[in-house]
Amino acid sequence: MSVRVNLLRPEEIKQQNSVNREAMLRMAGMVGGAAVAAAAIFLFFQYRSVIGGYSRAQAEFAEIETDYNRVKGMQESSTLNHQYVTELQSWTSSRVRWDDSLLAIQTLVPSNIQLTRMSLHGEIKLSSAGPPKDGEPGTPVRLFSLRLEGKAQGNLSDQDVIRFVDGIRGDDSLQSWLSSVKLQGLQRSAYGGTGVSEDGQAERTFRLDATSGERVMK
Amino acid sequence: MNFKDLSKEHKQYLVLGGIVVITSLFAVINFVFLPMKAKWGDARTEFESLRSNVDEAHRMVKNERKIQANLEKSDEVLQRAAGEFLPDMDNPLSWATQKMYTQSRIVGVEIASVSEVGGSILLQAQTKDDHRAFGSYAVRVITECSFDRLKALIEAMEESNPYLSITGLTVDSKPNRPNEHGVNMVIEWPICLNEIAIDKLAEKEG
Repeated sequence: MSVRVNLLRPEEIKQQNSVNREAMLRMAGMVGGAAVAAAAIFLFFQYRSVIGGYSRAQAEFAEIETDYNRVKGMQESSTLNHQYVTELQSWTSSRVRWDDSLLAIQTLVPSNIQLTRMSLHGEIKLSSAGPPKDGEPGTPVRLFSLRLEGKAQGNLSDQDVIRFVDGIRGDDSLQSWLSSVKLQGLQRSAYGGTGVSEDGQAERTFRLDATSGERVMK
Repeated sequence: MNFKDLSKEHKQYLVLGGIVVITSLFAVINFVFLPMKAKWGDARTEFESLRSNVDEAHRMVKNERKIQANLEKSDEVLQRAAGEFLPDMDNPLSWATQKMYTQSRIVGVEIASVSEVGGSILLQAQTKDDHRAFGSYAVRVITECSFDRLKALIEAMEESNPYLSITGLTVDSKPNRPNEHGVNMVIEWPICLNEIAIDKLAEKEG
């Protein structure tokens, strides 16, 4: 059996669960002070790091400034040159090599077909791929169109003309720029309504149109 | 210590103390801490920007050789273009005529006429607005020759100048002379119209 003896006086019983007020204030003061000191030390080191780093970076920059300005000038000049060279190169890449195309057409013409007129036309337009946004100039593109007119002799000359058109459509060197080839007309020549030439052969005239795709000029 | 047990005077002191603490905290945060933080942020941003500039400067200086090589290479291309392939800006028709006659003599074609035609309006407008450096200069050439000679002339022109473009060609057969054709050709070259580019190319030409 145990006996508990309460030695507290009645006026102390009221405060038996409370902490000493003075000690509490001291502790709060110490914690606050320590926090303020830590913050001040942290800020001081941060300041030193930024200011020190800034002056170090300034000194470092001063050391290479002359070289940097020289190389920067070179870089700017090179960028401008590159822009001009790219623009010039687009003149080369957007053109059609007609020497190759004329040779290809000449090779494809069968002996009973004679071309009476050939006309090609190139123009520069804005690309239809995307309309230019405000303030932007838009991308210029080259477009070429080719028209061939001719006559074909022989009773089966209509088939020869169609083969010729198919040949143009499928030729490798023409494929590099052609986008569409269309036969626009094939009819018997007039010859007083007979459609037969002086040497007694049937003769047909035809016309075909070919167009290129958009050839971008950067 | 219980709030209820405090006297009225103590309670007033306590409330007043609370108000003073909160007001002081508000003032310190708004008038000291926040401006300090903003200033600090600015200093940091400035430092970081300087640091990145220094790094870029280092990188650039390190790549000097590469930049110089690129510059020399592009200078060479432009120098050659200005000297050989682009029409003379003072008298382009004379330049174009001379080129045409030289090429036609080599392949044995006699040129009837060379006359100036307007270049691309679109390109002229874009060079005027500083979006491009090169506009176009075009001439019309009239001649009569066989198809083979025409091919040879076109090949010679296209081979001699990588920037030249034939943008118009009409070949008409002649009923009395089946081997001869009437040829009407439009030839276009890039011509420098942008002032900065003109100065740059003039330097290179000189």
